[in-house]
Amino acid sequence: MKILFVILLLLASLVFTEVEQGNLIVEKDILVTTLPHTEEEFTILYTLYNVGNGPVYDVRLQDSDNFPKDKYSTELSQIDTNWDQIEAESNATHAVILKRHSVGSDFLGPATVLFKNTPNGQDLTSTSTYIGRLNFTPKSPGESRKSPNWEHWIIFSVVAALVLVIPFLLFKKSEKKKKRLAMNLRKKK
Amino acid sequence: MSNRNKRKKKQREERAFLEVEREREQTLRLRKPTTKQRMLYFFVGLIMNILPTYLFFSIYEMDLIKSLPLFAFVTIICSIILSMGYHNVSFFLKHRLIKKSGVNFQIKRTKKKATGGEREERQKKQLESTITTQAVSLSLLYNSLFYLAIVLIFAFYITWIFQAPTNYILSLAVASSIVTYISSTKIQ
Repeated sequence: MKILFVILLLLASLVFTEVEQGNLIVEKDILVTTLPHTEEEFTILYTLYNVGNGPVYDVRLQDSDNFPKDKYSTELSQIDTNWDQIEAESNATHAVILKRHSVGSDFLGPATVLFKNTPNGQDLTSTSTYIGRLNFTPKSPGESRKSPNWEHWIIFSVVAALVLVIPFLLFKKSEKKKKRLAMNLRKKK
Repeated sequence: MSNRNKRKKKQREERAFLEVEREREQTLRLRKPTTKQRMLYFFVGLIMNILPTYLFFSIYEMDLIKSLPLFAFVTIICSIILSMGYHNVSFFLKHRLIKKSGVNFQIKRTKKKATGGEREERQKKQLESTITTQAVSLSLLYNSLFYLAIVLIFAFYITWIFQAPTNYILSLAVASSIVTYISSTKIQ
């Protein structure tokens, strides 16, 4: 009976001992206010949350398959990236700026994230959320003219006002001089 | 009619004909702009064309480097057309202001120099140059406002349906042509 009790205690300690391991939840999001057009930049933001109680090692984000090079070009950063370690209960982000060059419809699926719970451990996989189907159409000529563009109009108005005010001031100045001269000449008659 | 009367009548007719010829020559002389005036009109026309070019580059997002030859060509041609319009209006305004001033600008050629005649001639020249400045500045103001208004109406309400380069060419060319055509009808 005593031996059985000791064995049970040992088994329980094994079950209830906390093993530190990380767990990644990955969010993939597109940061736009309106649907992007062809030849227009848009940003994809990846956020990796480590919701486990231990760090994760050798984290590799892979999403190049969703953005083939013949259709998309990246500005400033690469799509695939890696981190050496993400601590427990912390997160990491990665932003990519892309541009699509041709008209078409694409399903932007989930990204794949590979990571390890120990430095030399096995590779584990996590998949991100997905964006879904996006239709890329060319920007119509009317769209840019309808948007406010306040700063461009202000610059245009200031320069136009300067160019128009100078002849007006010249006209006013010469008006006074003309009246004086004409009066002098009429008096002499 | 006696010979003496006939001779007097002939002399009067000759004098009247010479007056008309002199006035015509003066008008033709004034009709051609001076080099300074030409440069001023072209410079102001260039600024007036660069302003809508900036709008097309910023609002319609035309690529500056790719469209630079188009911008340069259209700007220069439209500036030349616009400068003709500036001169037409300033020529018309100058004549009107001269008539309004009530001063006789014709230089009297006398054998004897009258006292104070030199001073009067100097004042007449000053008055003429002041009237020229007035006419030129009024022409620049009026034509520039008119031109900008037409360009904006065309670029954003009439020809906006076309692609940006076509819209640019049409709006600037049509606006400069309208301004110059209307200014030439004033002279006629």
